[in-house]
Amino acid sequence: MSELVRFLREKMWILGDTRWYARVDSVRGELVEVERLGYAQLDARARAVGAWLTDHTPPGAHVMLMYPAGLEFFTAFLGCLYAGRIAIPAPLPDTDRRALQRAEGIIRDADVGLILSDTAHQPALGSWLDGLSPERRAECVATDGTVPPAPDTWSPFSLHLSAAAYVQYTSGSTSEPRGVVISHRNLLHNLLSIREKLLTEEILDELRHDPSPPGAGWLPHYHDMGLVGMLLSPLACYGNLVFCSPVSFIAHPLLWLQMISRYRAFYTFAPNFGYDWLLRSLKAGQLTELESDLDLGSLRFALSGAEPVRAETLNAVARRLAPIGFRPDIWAPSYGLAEATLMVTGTPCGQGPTMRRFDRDALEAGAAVPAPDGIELVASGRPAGMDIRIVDPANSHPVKDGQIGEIWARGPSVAPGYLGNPQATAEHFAARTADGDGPYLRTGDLGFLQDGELYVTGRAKDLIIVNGRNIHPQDIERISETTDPATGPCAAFALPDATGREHIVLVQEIRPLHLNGRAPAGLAELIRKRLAQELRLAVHVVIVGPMSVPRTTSGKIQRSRTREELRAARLDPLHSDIPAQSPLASPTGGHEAGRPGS
Amino acid sequence: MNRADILAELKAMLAEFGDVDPEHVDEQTAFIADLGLDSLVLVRMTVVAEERFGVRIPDEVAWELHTVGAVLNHVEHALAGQIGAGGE
Repeated sequence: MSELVRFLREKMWILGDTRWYARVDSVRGELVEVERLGYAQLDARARAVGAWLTDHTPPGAHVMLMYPAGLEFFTAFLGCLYAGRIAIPAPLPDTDRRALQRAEGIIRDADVGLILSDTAHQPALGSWLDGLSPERRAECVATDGTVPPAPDTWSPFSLHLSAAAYVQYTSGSTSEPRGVVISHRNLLHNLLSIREKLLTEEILDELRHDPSPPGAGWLPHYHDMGLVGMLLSPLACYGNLVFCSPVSFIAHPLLWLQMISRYRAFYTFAPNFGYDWLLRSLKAGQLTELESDLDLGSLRFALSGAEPVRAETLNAVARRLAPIGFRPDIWAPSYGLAEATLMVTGTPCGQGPTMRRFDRDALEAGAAVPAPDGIELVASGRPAGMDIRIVDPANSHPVKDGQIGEIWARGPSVAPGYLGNPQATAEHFAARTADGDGPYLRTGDLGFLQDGELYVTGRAKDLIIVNGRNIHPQDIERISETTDPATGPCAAFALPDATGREHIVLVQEIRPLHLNGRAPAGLAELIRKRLAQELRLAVHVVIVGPMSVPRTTSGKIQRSRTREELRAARLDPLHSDIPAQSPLASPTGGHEAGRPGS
Repeated sequence: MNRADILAELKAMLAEFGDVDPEHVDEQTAFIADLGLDSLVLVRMTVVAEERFGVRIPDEVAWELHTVGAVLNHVEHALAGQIGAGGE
């Protein structure tokens, strides 16, 4: 038993079933609790899974977990931790069309021999596995179906904190999945950082005593924020949790508010898009008729993280929900990434968010200069158990406070690296500043420090984030290039409109010889349809002539330069889906901070 | 519920969840390629359509329903199947 497992089980021992995890769903607009397990029940089931894994798999085996949202997943995950087997959470195909393709990539990448699921999904997963090539053959077992051994047959064994606990697949494109190896030490340190840095002594005291106020959320358990922030952190903080599946929230956004109100939740958490979605789905007047039912007065902490935190969203949500008791000072912006387990910086409960205005032109030039009529940025809080440096990505020199650079992080929460990928591990986890300080994790995100708080201003990577989905431009480009013989090289990127909402743009070169008299607009339509079908993405297609997409000397397409050329109206398109009056089309339209035109 | 009723309900849902003017919707309309709906709106529409029409739209089917006409076909078939099987 590692120190981490001892730490988690200690809470279950002390608190027994006085603390619980409950999942709810929406039935005809009403909140219904569909399952609940106390800490001791969770522990017993986790021990049973652990005992089964000890009997059926070698120590350190990679076990992929493909479950729907719910407590069966959580007990299987804990069972893996207990048994020293390495869990690999992955989504079921019902949440993402390409999930099976991705899962196949993970099986290959992580050499997975066993998949755990539930009885509802085991048959379909089993026949999918039968269809894979024999060298990737893995077995699928339902943990709620097999008669598990008695919990008491599990026996703790000693495991060092440096041992791998689980592998978090988040980064990497569909064709090249990249798994972050999280050690027992990483997870323990991040859970303790969340508890010690975000919660005040007074709140912790409240959580320790009955009745302990719960947290409320809906995040997917196969993402770092859902796994560590939503499912594991209540256990570390003596808390209760009420949650629903991400699909239930998307379909019934009010369920989120109902959970908080009904269970008197004291904290909640989501990426920016979740708060945005709630706002979009609340029609004018809708809250007034529900006011008598909903009361968010119990909420003292609303975390926003895992995505750029937008001031417009925080302000609009606070205004919209004010009539039912939401106070703006409960916002707690944070910053994190899977490579650092989860949290890197955070805002303590009760402190309130820091929002400041900065000069837009100066930000684009890489400096944070306060300006009363500038663009409003939200600080993501202070380093939590982490050492943060802002570094010029071009020459690795640390920059001064108020200067934008790449965010580098160091601390016990930083993962040892990517599974089976020493090259990517060396590139991302072993960075040293020009004066030799290191090793640091290169986050790929841009930002600046001011008064000890981190402001995240953009991404150095080309990653596109829409509605909580991390989309690699390569995935869009590969599909577009193979749509038609007339589609040549292309570049995909995000462009913000006047409100800051990001839109995906694809600049596509044509091969005129293969056009056979067809209009470029027709080609754009083919590409739009194909991307809608394959990736469920709405994309603005811009068709340009051959060799119009900027390339490096070695012939690699340059996305950020293509983007700048488009914004500066230097591309001369043959067809454009972007209407001329759209803010996306104007060189001065749209805004964003500090993304250097590298 | 006949095809016209289903279409009317679908237009109402598009207006409610996607802010789409019903005037701009016919059977050929594609949800993403024409209307630019995002994945959140589509997930919501799928779940709410199951509830309102009383039919199952399995995820692997939902992925293939790209146009208004395709949804009408699926819902019509599913409803006819229920009646044939003496369902609800």
